Amino acid sequence: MRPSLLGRALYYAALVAIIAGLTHIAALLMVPALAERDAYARVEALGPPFKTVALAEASPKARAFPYADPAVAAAVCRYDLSGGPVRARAPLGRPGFSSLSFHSRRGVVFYALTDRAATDGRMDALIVTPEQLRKLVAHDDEDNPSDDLRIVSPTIEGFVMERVLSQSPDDQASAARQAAAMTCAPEPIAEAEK
Amino acid sequence: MIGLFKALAVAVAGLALGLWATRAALTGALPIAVDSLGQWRMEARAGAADADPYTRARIERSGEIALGLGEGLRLTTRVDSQGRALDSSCLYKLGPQAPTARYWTLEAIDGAGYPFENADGRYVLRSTEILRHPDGGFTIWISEGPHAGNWLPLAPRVRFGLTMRLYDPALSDAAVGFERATAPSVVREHCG
Repeated sequence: MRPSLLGRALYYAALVAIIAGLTHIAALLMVPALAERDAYARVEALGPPFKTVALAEASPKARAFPYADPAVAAAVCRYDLSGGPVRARAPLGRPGFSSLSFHSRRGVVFYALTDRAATDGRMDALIVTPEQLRKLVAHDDEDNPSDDLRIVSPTIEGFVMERVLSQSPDDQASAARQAAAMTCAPEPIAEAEK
Repeated sequence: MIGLFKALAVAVAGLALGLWATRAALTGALPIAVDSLGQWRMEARAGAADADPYTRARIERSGEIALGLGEGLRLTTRVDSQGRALDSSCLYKLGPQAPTARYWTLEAIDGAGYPFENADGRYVLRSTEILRHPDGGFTIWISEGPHAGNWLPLAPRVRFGLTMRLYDPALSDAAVGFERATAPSVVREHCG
Protein backbone atom coordinates (compact mmCIF):
# COMPACT_ATOMS: atom_id res chain seq x y z
CA MET A 1 0.00 0.00 0.00
CA ARG A 2 1.33 3.42 -0.87
CA PRO A 3 1.72 5.74 2.14
CA SER A 4 -0.70 8.65 2.15
CA LEU A 5 0.40 12.16 1.18
CA LEU A 6 0.09 13.26 4.82
CA GLY A 7 2.19 10.33 5.97
CA ARG A 8 4.95 11.23 3.54
CA ALA A 9 4.84 14.92 4.53
CA LEU A 10 5.18 13.95 8.21
CA TYR A 11 8.07 11.64 7.34
CA TYR A 12 10.00 14.44 5.60
CA ALA A 13 9.13 16.96 8.32
CA ALA A 14 10.53 14.56 10.92
CA LEU A 15 13.74 14.13 8.89
CA VAL A 16 14.14 17.92 8.59
CA ALA A 17 13.51 18.33 12.32
CA ILE A 18 16.14 15.73 13.23
CA ILE A 19 18.77 17.33 10.96
CA ALA A 20 17.82 20.79 12.29
CA GLY A 21 18.18 19.59 15.88
CA LEU A 22 21.61 18.06 15.25
CA THR A 23 22.77 21.19 13.40
CA HIS A 24 21.52 23.39 16.22
CA ILE A 25 23.32 21.42 18.93
CA ALA A 26 26.56 21.25 16.92
CA ALA A 27 26.48 24.98 16.09
CA LEU A 28 25.69 25.93 19.68
CA LEU A 29 28.57 23.90 21.08
CA MET A 30 30.94 25.28 18.46
CA VAL A 31 30.24 28.94 19.27
CA PRO A 32 32.57 29.18 22.30
CA ALA A 33 35.40 27.58 20.29
CA LEU A 34 34.82 29.84 17.30
CA ALA A 35 34.19 33.11 19.13
CA GLU A 36 37.47 34.95 18.57
CA ARG A 37 36.42 38.16 20.21
CA ASP A 38 35.32 36.75 23.54
CA ALA A 39 35.94 38.65 26.74
CA TYR A 40 39.31 37.00 27.38
CA ALA A 41 40.58 37.86 23.90
CA ARG A 42 39.52 41.47 24.41
CA VAL A 43 41.28 41.62 27.78
CA GLU A 44 44.36 39.94 26.28
CA ALA A 45 44.60 42.70 23.68
CA LEU A 46 44.92 45.32 26.44
CA GLY A 47 48.28 44.32 27.84
CA PRO A 48 50.66 41.68 29.20
CA PRO A 49 49.87 39.43 32.20
CA PHE A 50 50.17 40.86 35.73
CA LYS A 51 49.60 44.40 34.48
CA THR A 52 46.54 46.25 35.81
CA VAL A 53 44.65 47.95 32.99
CA ALA A 54 41.86 50.41 33.72
CA LEU A 55 38.94 49.87 31.33
CA ALA A 56 37.58 52.90 29.52
CA GLU A 57 34.35 54.17 31.07
CA ALA A 58 31.42 52.69 29.14
CA SER A 59 30.19 55.29 26.66
CA PRO A 60 28.91 55.42 23.08
CA LYS A 61 32.55 55.76 21.94
CA ALA A 62 34.16 53.08 24.13
CA ARG A 63 32.80 50.00 22.38
CA ALA A 64 35.09 47.30 23.72
CA PHE A 65 32.90 45.52 26.27
CA PRO A 66 29.12 45.41 25.70
CA TYR A 67 26.68 45.71 28.61
CA ALA A 68 29.31 47.43 30.77
CA ASP A 69 27.86 49.82 33.34
CA PRO A 70 28.78 53.51 32.79
CA ALA A 71 28.40 54.00 36.55
CA VAL A 72 31.15 51.48 37.25
CA ALA A 73 34.89 52.06 37.10
CA ALA A 74 36.65 48.82 36.23
CA ALA A 75 40.16 47.46 35.93
CA VAL A 76 41.42 44.07 34.78
CA CYS A 77 44.59 42.13 35.46
CA ARG A 78 45.45 39.03 33.44
CA TYR A 79 47.12 36.15 35.25
CA ASP A 80 49.11 33.06 34.33
CA LEU A 81 49.52 30.33 36.93
CA SER A 82 52.33 28.47 35.15
CA GLY A 83 54.90 30.25 37.34
CA GLY A 84 53.07 29.65 40.64
CA PRO A 85 50.03 30.98 42.50
CA VAL A 86 48.90 34.57 41.87
CA ARG A 87 47.89 37.03 44.57
CA ALA A 88 45.02 39.41 43.69
CA ARG A 89 44.67 42.38 45.97
CA ALA A 90 42.31 45.36 45.89
CA PRO A 91 42.48 48.06 48.58
CA LEU A 92 39.09 49.61 49.38
CA GLY A 93 39.66 53.10 50.80
CA ARG A 94 36.13 54.35 50.08
CA PRO A 95 32.60 53.35 51.04
CA GLY A 96 30.16 51.77 48.61
CA PHE A 97 30.06 48.76 46.34
CA SER A 98 33.14 47.21 44.84
CA SER A 99 33.81 43.65 43.77
CA LEU A 100 36.50 41.31 42.52
CA SER A 101 35.57 38.65 40.00
CA PHE A 102 37.72 35.84 38.66
CA HIS A 103 37.31 34.83 35.03
CA SER A 104 38.70 31.71 33.41
CA ARG A 105 40.23 31.52 29.94
CA ARG A 106 36.82 30.40 28.70
CA GLY A 107 34.94 33.40 30.02
CA VAL A 108 33.40 31.67 33.02
CA VAL A 109 33.21 33.63 36.26
CA PHE A 110 34.46 31.01 38.68
CA TYR A 111 34.44 33.19 41.77
CA ALA A 112 33.36 36.66 42.86
CA LEU A 113 33.49 38.54 46.11
CA THR A 114 32.39 42.01 47.11
CA ASP A 115 33.66 44.66 49.53
CA ARG A 116 31.48 43.01 52.17
CA ALA A 117 33.91 40.09 52.19
CA ALA A 118 36.92 42.39 52.60
CA THR A 119 39.38 41.92 55.46
CA ASP A 120 41.82 44.56 56.75
CA GLY A 121 40.42 47.13 54.33
CA ARG A 122 41.07 45.13 51.19
CA MET A 123 39.79 42.32 49.06
CA ASP A 124 42.47 39.70 48.87
CA ALA A 125 42.69 36.23 47.31
CA LEU A 126 45.25 33.71 46.13
CA ILE A 127 44.53 32.15 42.73
CA VAL A 128 45.87 28.60 42.44
CA THR A 129 45.74 25.48 40.30
CA PRO A 130 44.45 22.28 41.97
CA GLU A 131 48.07 21.04 42.02
CA GLN A 132 49.32 24.22 43.74
CA LEU A 133 46.51 24.02 46.27
CA ARG A 134 47.59 20.50 47.25
CA LYS A 135 51.16 21.75 47.71
CA LEU A 136 50.02 24.72 49.81
CA VAL A 137 47.84 22.56 52.02
CA ALA A 138 50.73 20.13 52.53
CA HIS A 139 52.85 23.04 53.77
CA ASP A 140 50.15 24.38 56.07
CA ASP A 141 50.69 24.25 59.81
CA GLU A 142 47.93 22.04 61.14
CA ASP A 143 47.74 23.86 64.47
CA ASN A 144 47.58 27.24 62.82
CA PRO A 145 45.71 26.83 59.53
CA SER A 146 45.97 29.53 56.91
CA ASP A 147 43.09 32.01 56.73
CA ASP A 148 44.03 32.91 53.16
CA LEU A 149 41.19 32.88 50.63
CA ARG A 150 42.44 30.35 48.04
CA ILE A 151 40.56 30.14 44.79
CA VAL A 152 41.13 27.29 42.36
CA SER A 153 41.19 28.49 38.76
CA PRO A 154 39.78 26.02 36.21
CA THR A 155 42.33 27.23 33.63
CA ILE A 156 46.03 28.18 33.83
CA GLU A 157 45.29 31.61 32.37
CA GLY A 158 42.48 33.97 33.22
CA PHE A 159 41.85 37.45 34.49
CA VAL A 160 40.75 39.29 37.60
CA MET A 161 38.36 42.21 37.33
CA GLU A 162 37.59 44.85 39.88
CA ARG A 163 34.37 46.81 39.63
CA VAL A 164 33.84 49.97 41.68
CA LEU A 165 30.41 51.58 41.61
CA SER A 166 30.39 55.38 41.80
CA GLN A 167 27.68 57.06 43.84
CA SER A 168 27.26 60.03 41.47
CA PRO A 169 28.91 61.37 38.28
CA ASP A 170 31.31 63.44 40.44
CA ASP A 171 32.35 60.27 42.25
CA GLN A 172 33.55 58.52 39.08
CA ALA A 173 37.17 59.73 39.34
CA SER A 174 37.49 58.46 42.90
CA ALA A 175 36.00 55.10 41.88
CA ALA A 176 38.46 54.90 38.98
CA ARG A 177 41.39 55.52 41.36
CA GLN A 178 40.30 52.64 43.56
CA ALA A 179 39.87 50.30 40.57
CA ALA A 180 43.35 51.18 39.26
CA ALA A 181 44.89 50.28 42.64
CA MET A 182 44.01 46.59 42.17
CA THR A 183 47.02 44.34 41.57
CA CYS A 184 47.70 40.74 40.63
CA ALA A 185 51.20 39.30 40.98
CA PRO A 186 52.85 35.87 41.17
CA GLU A 187 53.47 34.62 44.69
CA PRO A 188 55.72 31.53 44.57
CA ILE A 189 55.05 28.80 47.14
CA ALA A 190 57.68 29.04 49.88
CA GLU A 191 60.04 26.04 49.80
CA ALA A 192 59.43 23.61 52.61
CA GLU A 193 62.11 23.72 55.30
CA LYS A 194 64.61 20.94 54.89
CA MET B 1 17.55 10.57 -9.04
CA ILE B 2 14.39 11.90 -7.43
CA GLY B 3 15.41 10.17 -4.17
CA LEU B 4 18.77 11.96 -4.20
CA PHE B 5 17.08 15.29 -4.85
CA LYS B 6 14.67 14.72 -1.96
CA ALA B 7 17.50 13.75 0.41
CA LEU B 8 19.41 16.90 -0.58
CA ALA B 9 16.34 19.10 -0.07
CA VAL B 10 15.75 17.59 3.37
CA ALA B 11 19.41 18.09 4.36
CA VAL B 12 19.47 21.72 3.22
CA ALA B 13 16.16 22.52 4.92
CA GLY B 14 17.36 20.86 8.16
CA LEU B 15 20.67 22.72 8.14
CA ALA B 16 19.00 26.06 7.46
CA LEU B 17 16.42 25.55 10.19
CA GLY B 18 19.07 24.46 12.70
CA LEU B 19 21.32 27.44 11.98
CA TRP B 20 18.39 29.82 12.12
CA ALA B 21 17.30 28.44 15.50
CA THR B 22 20.86 28.82 16.84
CA ARG B 23 21.09 32.39 15.66
CA ALA B 24 17.67 33.23 17.06
CA ALA B 25 18.54 31.69 20.43
CA LEU B 26 21.82 33.61 20.63
CA THR B 27 20.45 37.00 19.60
CA GLY B 28 17.58 36.69 22.04
CA ALA B 29 14.86 36.42 19.41
CA LEU B 30 13.99 33.00 20.82
CA PRO B 31 13.92 33.24 24.62
CA ILE B 32 15.65 29.92 25.36
CA ALA B 33 17.31 29.58 28.78
CA VAL B 34 16.33 33.11 29.79
CA ASP B 35 14.60 33.85 33.08
CA SER B 36 12.03 36.56 33.15
CA LEU B 37 10.93 38.89 35.87
CA GLY B 38 7.80 40.74 34.81
CA GLN B 39 8.74 42.28 31.47
CA TRP B 40 12.46 41.98 32.23
CA ARG B 41 14.78 39.24 31.09
CA MET B 42 17.75 38.09 33.07
CA GLU B 43 20.38 35.42 32.89
CA ALA B 44 20.81 34.64 36.55
CA ARG B 45 23.42 31.98 35.79
CA ALA B 46 25.37 34.15 33.33
CA GLY B 47 28.23 34.52 35.74
CA ALA B 48 28.17 30.99 37.05
CA ALA B 49 30.56 28.19 36.20
CA ASP B 50 27.62 25.88 35.49
CA ALA B 51 25.84 28.20 33.05
CA ASP B 52 23.89 26.37 30.36
CA PRO B 53 25.30 26.14 26.79
CA TYR B 54 22.92 28.83 25.50
CA THR B 55 23.96 31.36 28.11
CA ARG B 56 27.63 30.46 27.63
CA ALA B 57 27.42 30.84 23.86
CA ARG B 58 25.58 34.16 24.14
CA ILE B 59 28.24 35.57 26.48
CA GLU B 60 31.17 34.25 24.42
CA ARG B 61 29.69 35.68 21.28
CA SER B 62 29.02 39.16 22.68
CA GLY B 63 32.34 39.61 24.50
CA GLU B 64 30.51 40.75 27.61
CA ILE B 65 32.31 40.45 30.94
CA ALA B 66 29.41 38.96 32.87
CA LEU B 67 28.60 39.82 36.45
CA GLY B 68 29.41 36.98 38.85
CA LEU B 69 26.61 35.34 40.78
CA GLY B 70 27.83 36.91 44.04
CA GLU B 71 28.29 40.39 42.53
CA GLY B 72 25.11 41.33 40.79
CA LEU B 73 22.47 40.67 38.18
CA ARG B 74 21.62 42.37 34.94
CA LEU B 75 17.96 42.74 33.94
CA THR B 76 17.18 43.88 30.41
CA THR B 77 13.99 44.77 28.60
CA ARG B 78 13.34 46.03 25.09
CA VAL B 79 9.57 46.33 25.46
CA ASP B 80 7.11 48.30 27.59
CA SER B 81 4.54 46.87 29.99
CA GLN B 82 2.26 46.04 27.07
CA GLY B 83 4.93 44.33 24.99
CA ARG B 84 5.50 47.17 22.53
CA ALA B 85 9.08 47.96 21.43
CA LEU B 86 10.67 50.88 23.30
CA ASP B 87 10.90 53.95 21.06
CA SER B 88 12.64 57.21 22.00
CA SER B 89 9.86 59.34 20.49
CA CYS B 90 7.69 58.28 23.46
CA LEU B 91 7.72 59.20 27.13
CA TYR B 92 8.05 56.29 29.56
CA LYS B 93 7.50 56.08 33.29
CA LEU B 94 9.50 53.50 35.25
CA GLY B 95 8.75 52.53 38.83
CA PRO B 96 7.69 52.35 41.56
CA GLN B 97 10.24 49.91 43.05
CA ALA B 98 13.24 47.76 42.28
CA PRO B 99 14.12 44.24 43.45
CA THR B 100 15.98 44.22 46.76
CA ALA B 101 19.64 45.07 46.23
CA ARG B 102 22.24 47.23 47.92
CA TYR B 103 22.55 49.46 44.84
CA TRP B 104 21.12 49.50 41.36
CA THR B 105 21.68 51.47 38.16
CA LEU B 106 19.47 52.08 35.13
CA GLU B 107 20.78 52.66 31.61
CA ALA B 108 19.33 53.01 28.09
CA ILE B 109 21.21 50.80 25.62
CA ASP B 110 21.37 50.16 21.89
CA GLY B 111 20.98 46.76 20.23
CA ALA B 112 24.60 45.81 20.92
CA GLY B 113 24.53 46.75 24.62
CA TYR B 114 26.25 50.16 24.50
CA PRO B 115 24.82 53.50 25.66
CA PHE B 116 23.50 56.03 23.12
CA GLU B 117 24.99 59.44 22.56
CA ASN B 118 22.56 61.99 24.02
CA ALA B 119 22.44 65.75 24.37
CA ASP B 120 22.90 65.57 28.13
CA GLY B 121 25.96 63.25 28.03
CA ARG B 122 24.40 61.24 30.85
CA TYR B 123 24.00 57.51 30.26
CA VAL B 124 22.98 56.10 33.60
CA LEU B 125 20.94 56.77 36.74
CA ARG B 126 22.12 55.36 40.09
CA SER B 127 19.92 54.36 43.01
CA THR B 128 22.00 56.80 45.08
CA GLU B 129 21.13 59.87 42.98
CA ILE B 130 17.36 59.62 42.51
CA LEU B 131 14.58 61.40 44.35
CA ARG B 132 12.20 59.11 46.20
CA HIS B 133 8.57 59.33 47.30
CA PRO B 134 7.91 59.44 51.05
CA ASP B 135 7.02 55.71 50.95
CA GLY B 136 10.42 54.82 49.47
CA GLY B 137 9.08 54.26 45.95
CA PHE B 138 10.34 56.21 42.95
CA THR B 139 9.40 57.33 39.46
CA ILE B 140 11.92 57.64 36.65
CA TRP B 141 10.96 59.47 33.46
CA ILE B 142 12.58 58.20 30.29
CA SER B 143 12.39 60.49 27.27
CA GLU B 144 14.44 62.35 24.70
CA GLY B 145 13.44 65.80 25.99
CA PRO B 146 14.15 66.97 29.57
CA HIS B 147 11.63 65.98 32.21
CA ALA B 148 11.17 67.18 35.79
CA GLY B 149 12.10 64.72 38.54
CA ASN B 150 14.27 61.68 37.87
CA TRP B 151 15.08 61.81 34.17
CA LEU B 152 16.96 59.29 32.02
CA PRO B 153 17.80 60.98 28.69
CA LEU B 154 17.43 59.19 25.35
CA ALA B 155 18.88 59.71 21.87
CA PRO B 156 16.44 61.03 19.24
CA ARG B 157 14.44 58.57 17.09
CA VAL B 158 15.86 55.22 18.13
CA ARG B 159 14.62 51.85 19.30
CA PHE B 160 16.28 51.22 22.65
CA GLY B 161 16.55 48.80 25.51
CA LEU B 162 16.69 49.38 29.23
CA THR B 163 19.09 47.58 31.49
CA MET B 164 18.93 47.57 35.25
CA ARG B 165 21.87 46.20 37.20
CA LEU B 166 21.39 45.03 40.76
CA TYR B 167 24.56 45.09 42.85
CA ASP B 168 24.69 42.86 45.91
CA PRO B 169 21.14 41.63 45.28
CA ALA B 170 19.39 39.71 48.02
CA LEU B 171 20.96 36.33 47.39
CA SER B 172 17.91 34.32 48.32
CA ASP B 173 16.13 36.14 45.51
CA ALA B 174 18.81 35.27 43.00
CA ALA B 175 18.67 31.64 44.06
CA VAL B 176 14.95 31.21 44.55
CA GLY B 177 13.63 33.70 42.03
CA PHE B 178 12.51 37.27 42.51
CA GLU B 179 8.97 38.13 43.33
CA ARG B 180 7.28 39.38 40.20
CA ALA B 181 5.83 42.31 42.08
CA THR B 182 9.25 43.81 42.78
CA ALA B 183 10.10 44.27 39.10
CA PRO B 184 9.70 47.88 38.00
CA SER B 185 7.19 48.39 35.21
CA VAL B 186 7.92 50.49 32.12
CA VAL B 187 4.71 52.28 31.19
CA ARG B 188 4.33 54.24 27.94
CA GLU B 189 2.71 57.60 28.70
CA HIS B 190 2.43 59.17 25.23
CA CYS B 191 4.27 59.39 21.92
CA GLY B 192 5.06 62.04 19.35
